[in-house]
Parts: sequence; C-alpha cells; structure tokens
Amino acid sequence: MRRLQLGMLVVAGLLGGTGAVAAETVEVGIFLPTVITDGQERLRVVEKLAQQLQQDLGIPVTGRSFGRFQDFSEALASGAISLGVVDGWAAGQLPASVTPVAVGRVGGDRHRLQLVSKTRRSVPSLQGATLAVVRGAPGTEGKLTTQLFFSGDLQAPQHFKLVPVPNVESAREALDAGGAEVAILPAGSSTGLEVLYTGPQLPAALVVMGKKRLPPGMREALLKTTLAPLERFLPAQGEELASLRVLAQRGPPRRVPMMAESPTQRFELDLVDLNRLELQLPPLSSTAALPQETPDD
Amino acid sequence: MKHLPLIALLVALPALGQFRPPPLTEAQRLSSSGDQPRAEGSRLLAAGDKKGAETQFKKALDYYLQALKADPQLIVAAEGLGVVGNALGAHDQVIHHLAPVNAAHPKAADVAFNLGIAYFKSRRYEQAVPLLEGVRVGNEPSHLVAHYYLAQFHLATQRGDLAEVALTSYLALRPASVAGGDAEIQGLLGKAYVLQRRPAEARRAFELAQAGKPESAALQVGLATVLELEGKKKEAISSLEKLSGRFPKTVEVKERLARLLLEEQRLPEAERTAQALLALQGSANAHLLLAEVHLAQKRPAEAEAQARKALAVAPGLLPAQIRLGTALQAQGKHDEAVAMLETAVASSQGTSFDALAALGSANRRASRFQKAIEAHQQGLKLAPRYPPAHMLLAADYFAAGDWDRAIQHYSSVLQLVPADPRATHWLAYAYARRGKSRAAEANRLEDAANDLRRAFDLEGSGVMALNLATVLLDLDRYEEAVTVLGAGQTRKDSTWQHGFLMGLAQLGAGRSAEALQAFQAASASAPDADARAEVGAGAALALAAQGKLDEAVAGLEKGKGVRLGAALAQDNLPFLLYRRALWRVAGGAVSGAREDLAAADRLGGAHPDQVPLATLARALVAVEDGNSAAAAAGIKRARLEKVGWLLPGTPAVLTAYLHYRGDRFAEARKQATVAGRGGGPAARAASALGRAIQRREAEKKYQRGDYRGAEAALKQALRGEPNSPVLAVNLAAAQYAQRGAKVASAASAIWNRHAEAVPEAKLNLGVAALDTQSKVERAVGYFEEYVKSGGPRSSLVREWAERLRVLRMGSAVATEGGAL
Repeated sequence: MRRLQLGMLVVAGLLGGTGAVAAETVEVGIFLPTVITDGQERLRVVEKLAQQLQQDLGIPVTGRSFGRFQDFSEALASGAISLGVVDGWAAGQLPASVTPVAVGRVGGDRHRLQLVSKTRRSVPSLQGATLAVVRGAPGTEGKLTTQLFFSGDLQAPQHFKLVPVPNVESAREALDAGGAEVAILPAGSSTGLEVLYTGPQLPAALVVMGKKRLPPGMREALLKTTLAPLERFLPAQGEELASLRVLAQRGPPRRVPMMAESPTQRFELDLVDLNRLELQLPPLSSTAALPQETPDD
Repeated sequence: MKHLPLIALLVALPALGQFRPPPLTEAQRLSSSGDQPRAEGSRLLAAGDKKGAETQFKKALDYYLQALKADPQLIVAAEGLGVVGNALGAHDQVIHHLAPVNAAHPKAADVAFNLGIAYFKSRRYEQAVPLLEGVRVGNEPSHLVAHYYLAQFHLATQRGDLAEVALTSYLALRPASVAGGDAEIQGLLGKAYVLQRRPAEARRAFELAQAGKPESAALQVGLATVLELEGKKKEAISSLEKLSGRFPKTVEVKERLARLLLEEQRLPEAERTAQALLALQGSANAHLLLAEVHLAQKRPAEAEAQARKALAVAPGLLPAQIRLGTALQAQGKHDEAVAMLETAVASSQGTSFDALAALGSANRRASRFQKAIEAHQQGLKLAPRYPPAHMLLAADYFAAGDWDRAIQHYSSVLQLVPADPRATHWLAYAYARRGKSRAAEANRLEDAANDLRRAFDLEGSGVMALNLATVLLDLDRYEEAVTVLGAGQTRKDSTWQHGFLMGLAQLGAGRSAEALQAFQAASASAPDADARAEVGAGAALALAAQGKLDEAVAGLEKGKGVRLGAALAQDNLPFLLYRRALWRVAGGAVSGAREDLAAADRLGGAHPDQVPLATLARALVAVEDGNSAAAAAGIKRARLEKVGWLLPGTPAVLTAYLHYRGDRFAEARKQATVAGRGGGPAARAASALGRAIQRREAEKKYQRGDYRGAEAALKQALRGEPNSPVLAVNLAAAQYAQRGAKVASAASAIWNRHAEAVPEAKLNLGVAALDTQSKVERAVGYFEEYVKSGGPRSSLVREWAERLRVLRMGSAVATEGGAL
C-alpha cells in the first residue's frame, strides 16, 4: 500500500513536472577502505544499500564506492552524494558541514585496528621500520596514527617510516611483498600474522550527510537496512563526529592528575524523628463482642 | 369450736358495780332485759349446750335490737348486740348497728372490739385490722381474742414482726385458765420468727409448742423450716421425708417437702411427692404444686393440664391462674397466656404482685415491652421495696434497650440486697450494653468508657475487660488499657484477643518490646491462621516502632486479608512504605525506595498527616534521579517548617542539600549558612553539608578545567578541614594542573605523604612521573598500584598502563588497548 502510494507520487511528479525531490535521483556513497577488505565487495555493498533504500523510499537511488578520501569528502560537501558511509578512523577529517546520521558498529574485535607483522617483535624495537597505513586525507597519516591509534603514547612519524596505501588489501599486500615490515589492519584480517598492539575502540563506520537535504523517510529507511559486515545502524547522538575530530586533531586529553572524589553527602536522617509520627490504630471499640444474653425470670 | 374457753370469756358479763343506778330509759330497760338471756346463753355454752345457748342468745339479740331501735347510740345495747350477734354468726347485723356507734364513740372499746371481730369474720380485713389493733393496745383481758386474730392476719400477710407483737402481747395477757392453749400460740410464734428469718427463736418456739405434746406434724414442719433458714436444706428435706413416713396422710408435710424439693431442683423427687400429695388429696393446691413442678421440668403442656385441674377444683384460684398463664406462655401461646394473666390480675383487683409479675414477664417474652413495663410498674407500686419488683422491671427495660432505666432498677435491687449476684451480673451487662451503644455514637467515647469501667468493676470478666480496653484504646488511654487487659488476662474467659489488644496498648504506650512479647503470646494461643495473621499485623507495628521496617512491611502485607489486619494495613502500610522509602533513599538504595513509593501510592497514598513524609521521600528519590528542581518544588509545597517530626532548621538543611545535589553551589552554600545559624543537630548537619558543598564544587570546577577555581574552593574547604588528606591531595592536583613541572616536586611530596590513604595520590604520582620526567616504568608502576587499589578510574588507568607497557616498554600484547 505504502509502495503503491509512493509509485503514484512518482507518476504524478512526471506528469505534472513538479515535485523535484521525487523526480531527482539520490546518490549514496561509501568510503570503507578498512571495514571492507575487498574492492568488489565494496561495490556490491553500496549497490545493495542503494537498492534497499530505493525499494523502501520508492525513488531512484544509486550507489558509489569511493577509493580516495578527498573525493568522498568533496562529493559530500558539494551535494553530489546525499549520504555517505565512512570508516570511523577517517570520519574525523571530514569538513565541518558534514553531520552524523547513524553509527555502524562491528561486533567483537573486528572493528579495532591492530599493529601486525610477520614476525613477533616488540614495538620499541621497530624504530625506523616501514609501516603500511591506509591513507585518509593526504598527509594526515602520521597524525592520525599517533593520535587515534597510539593515543598519543607513541609518535608514529618519528618511530616508523610510514607507507600510505589506498586500502586494507594493499596494506596486506605490502606486508606480504616486503614493501612494509609492519601494517595496521582491522582485527579479523590479520590471520597468520603477529599482533604487536591493538588500538583503542573506535566507531567502525559512520553514516554522514552533507548540506543536501535528505529525501523524506531516508533516515528511517537507513536505520532499517543492514550492510554486512556492519551490523545494524544506530541513530547518531550528534557528538560522534565532533569527538572524532577532536581526537584526530589533538589526540586524547592530556593526562592530568585526578581528584579524589568525595562520596556524595546524603540527607541526614538524624534530622528526622519519625517516632513522632504515630502509628495509627483503627477504631477498635466496635470489634469487641459482648454476649447478647438478656435477663429472664 | 376450737376455742370454747375463750368464747365463754368473750360473752361473760362484766362485773356489776355496787351503786344505785339512775332511772332507766326504755332503751336501757330493753337492753338490760337482754343481759339475762345473754348470761344464760354463756353459761349453757360453757357447759357444752350449744343449742340451748343459741336459743338464749337469740332472745338477747331481740332485746338489744329493740333497745337500739329506741336509741341507736346506746352503747351498752350496741356492745350486747355485738357479743351475741358475733356468737350467732350474724356479723352483718353487728356491722350494721355497731358501725355508727363506733363512729360516734370511737373510744368505746367493747363496741370497737365487737365491730372489729364482725369485720374480721366477714373478711373485711381493711376495716377489721385498724379496729382490732386499737383494741389490742388497750390490753383488756376480755379482748384477748383480738390479739389472736391479729396474729393470724399478720402471719397470713407475711408480717412476722407484727404477728410476733400480737402473739407476745396475747401470752402476757391471757389468764391462767387458758394457758392450755399456749402450745398453739408458740407454734404461731415460731412461724412469726420464721418469717423474720430468726431461726434460733423459731426453733425455741416450735420446741416449746411441741414439749409434752404428741408429735405434731405442723410443728415438725415448722422445725424443718428452721433447718431451711439455717441453710440446712438437705437436713430439712430428710427430716420432712421421715416425717412423711410417720404422717403419711398429713398434707402439710408432703406439701412442704414437695416445695423444698422443687426449690432444690430435685425435680423427679418433687414430682413423686407432688403426685403422692395429689393421691392423698385431690386439692387445688396439690394440682398447683404439680403444675409448678412440671413448669420447672420444662413440661409446660402437663403444667397447663395440672393448672387447669386446680382451677376446676378451685375456680378463680389466683396462683393456679398465674401458673396456667406461665404454662401457656412457655408453649408459645402468648395471646392465651396474656389473656389468662390479665384475668388473674383482674380477679385480684390488681393487688396480686405474683399475677402482675407473671403478666409483665409474659408480655416481655412476647416482645411487648411497653405492656411488660406497665404490669411490672404496677407490681412495683404494690411492693416498692421488694427486690424482685425492681428485677422484673429492670429486665423489661433491658429487653427494650432502655439501659438508663435498667441500670436504675438493678441499682435499686443492690441497695435493697447488697451484692445480689443476679442483679450485679445484669447491672454489669446493662452498663456494658449502654457503653457499647455510646461508643458507637459520635463524641461519646468518654461516657462509653465510664460505663464499661463500671461494668468491669461489677463483673471483672475477661469479656468486660476486652470491651473496656477497646474503648480505652480508641481514647488513646493506653496505660489504663494495659492495666485492664492485664487483669482480663488472668480471667477464665481470657482469649488470644486480650494478648492482641495488650500488644496494641503497649505499643500505644511506647513500649514496643513489651508489645512484641504480648503479640507473641497472643499468637501462641490464636485459634486459627486468620487470628495468627491478625496478631502478626499487630506485631508488625511493634517491629515498625523498633525500626525493623522490612519485617514490619512484610507482616502487614501478610495480615492484609484478615479482619483487623486489613484495617491495620490500610492505616499503616503506606506510612511504613514512605518511611522505608526515606530510609532506603538516604542509604542509597534508590530503586527500592522507588518501589516503596509506587506501592504506597497503589495503596491509596498518604494519610493527610503523612503527606510531608511522602513528599520528602519522593523529593529525595527525585534528587537521585537527577531531578533536584522538581524535588525542591515539592519540598516547598510540603511546608516542612510546620512538620513536628523534623528537627528545627531541617527545611533549610534540606533546601541546601537539594541545591548541592543539583550542583547549584552558591544557593546551596547560602542555605547551609542559614541552617547553620540555629545551632543543634541541624547546624551540625548544615556544617557537614557545607564541607561537602565545597569539595563537590572544587571537583566540578576541576572537571571543567577550571583549575584556578578548583584551587580556590579547595583552599576554602581546607580551612574547615585542615587535616583532610583528600583535600590536600586534590589541592596539589589543582596546583599541578595549572603550573605543571614548577610545582611537581611539592605536589609529589604531598601525594607521597598521602599515597596510602588516598589512591588517587599514586595515580597522580604516575602522571607527574610520566609528564615531567618521562619515567615510563615508574609511572606504569604507580598506575598499576592504583589499579590494584580498585580506585574508581581503574579501567582507564589499566588501559594507560598496558598501552605504555606495549608501546614504550616492549611488553607483549596482553589485552586490547581499551576503550576510547
């Protein structure tokens, strides 16, 4: 019934030449070089997403997988795509006009990033080693790796020689081919490799929108879709991008001394004399029976 | 003629004086002519010639009549007429002619005497007795018989005292010639003493009467009566039984024996004796006696038959009419009974107490209370000092629910017969019933208590104690209730309810331990599960008074389904739930408190007195839910400054507290200052709260990054608590956060000093070591010690330590890096 009504709306729009939103094709894009570990899979996933949304909204929806972060960022900023799904670690670099719509999570350890190598080594001993990292905004690899992955406790550009790669499969290839000694891969794609360090938990992916207004019902339709390997989307609370931006720019907050928190003082019942509030007895005089005998002679 | 010597004396002529009489009138001459045959008649009578005497007396009568015709006021003629008229049985003629003479000459003793005798013989006792009493006091030997007649009359009317006077004066006056009759007089005197309940004198009189005479059944019956008077009823019965063997044909013996057996409720023997009496003599009295036995045997139909037979023998016999009425009544034939008894009352011209008594009682049993009261009131007029008259009327008023009058008449009985057990019992019940009905009226509980107190004093039974105690409890007179119930518990009819009420009374008197003890005892004697649940509800209140709120709530919940338990729960459960909610929220058990509030609301919410309590509990829960503004509004509405159970100054402390919990520190400080001015516990609480406000304010400023503000607040707080390690550690943190390496060594010294007391000191030492000296290993050591101490930020610090270990110290990966 709902679909029929939407169909009628499309027809009406065509006939009357009005209803620009209904007539326009909506485009969604993804930049998921880490969450999805295969190029073909990225295409399939974005097409499936477009199909699901089209089916639900009854308007034409197309999908596009971006290989480069700056293309994805610009498409969002320009309104070429209405909606984008992006790797969590990269989202903090998106311009301020982009806002979060939903958060996609991946269960277990798979959404964490790990420092891996073919042989077991300690991190301090890797001074000067080559490190394959997936590229985000150009030139930000060192900062992102230091702040997001090492939480400020290891300066990546000083400790490693960084080798930016377009995606996870390239990083793995670089490792296999000897182009890099260590790589940062998502947990779950490090089979056969030594895990040297696991980074902090980050949102696996964020659904974001640019300035362009979303067609009616799109947000709700999105929350109903699934996009393997991402689990279902949860509505964004609004602060997700901001905190990622802070983290990307400045890293985690500086360690400062902490205050010993005093326990919460509670209201003192010493001030309440409840014994003054008397217990109530119900009327009792009607409850005692008296034998109903009467005198006779 | 049983009293021949006496009669002879009566008709003897007075001695003639030795003087010359004046010339006689015609009337005098005629009268004088009558004197000769009168004297002759007396001589013949004394000689036993009744017939001859009668002829002479008639002659004399004629002369006297003619004399009185000539002069109706001629005293001698009247006197002569009286003597011979009475001897001939012509009492009407005597009355006719002597009454006018007596009226004109009341001092003429012979006229009065003969007129009195004539009235007496005509059964006109009302006229006879005053005349004869007048004659008796003259102590004239010729009027001796007047003493005898009066004695008989007073015995018949049950006036033993008057009979005794008449008989004693008789004995003093009688000439030696008639001393042979003294035995009979002694027998009568015995009866007079019996009537006066003077057994020793009665026995002496009967023994004197019997002395030297063949055994007399009548005197022996008299002696048996003396035994009765002495309370030796068994002996009396046994004596009469023996007597009955010796005098099998004497009616009096069997009659007395049957009555005594009836009184003693030895009904089969009474019946046998009455049957034997009936066989001996089919008299009305014999039937009547049997009817009475049958009534006592609850065989009213047979009683009715016997009463009817008595009436067949003696139509109009009053006692038989009364018994017939009673028998009819006992068979439920109310109308017939009342009709019969009304006949009895009418036939006695309203002068028979027994008839009126039976009529009243028949009406009462037929629920015709007004008629009952009227009959018994008439009975009371006949015998105003007769205790049964008051008893009967009191019973009517009792049955009609007129407690005031019932009390009045039972009290009259007790004035006449102090400590009479039946009157005492029913007076107690009348007071109790009036008390109960007053207790049900508005504003009459005090009166009810007074009535029930009298009832309890009169009849200290368990049930009276119970009824009095309930009213005392309603009046909040707990100590008195404790005393009364304590007495009630020692009575035979004491029940578990005494213990239950005792528990409530002790509770009201503020002794919860004693209350609990009483409830435990009551529970042990409670007859069923319901009663135990009811007692349990009471015990729950005692537990509540001891602050054992969980047990109290559980106990009241359990008792909710039973009788008084429901009322106790309804009145107290919401209160206890609000109270527990307050305790719970004050102890940090917020969800439990929330459940209690909801449960109390479901039960109908707060009693008007308890609204402030509910509001307070609700406000404290709202604070925990982060809604301190709503809490503050509720508290304001509750006007807690008027609440007696909060110590003075508490509302200001509370307001300060709400601001504190809402992080409105300036307002919180202001209110705490206000509360601190009053002194006492509120001031102490305000001062503690003031310190908490400063600490919290400092922490909040620090969390916001306002290190300078935090430092200032901490310095202020330290003035109040200069030795607080926590404040010292925190102040060092605030200073380090602002000035870093410049103060690192001073701060580290402080943290080192308090490292054992305040876990955060170690954490901060780690931060400084890493921050200012890049001493990773030392920092990790401090961090790990902090984690070990279980401080509130352990998970974050563990993450730091592990990351530093892997990235900077080359440790292998242990776990993942932790949360962002």
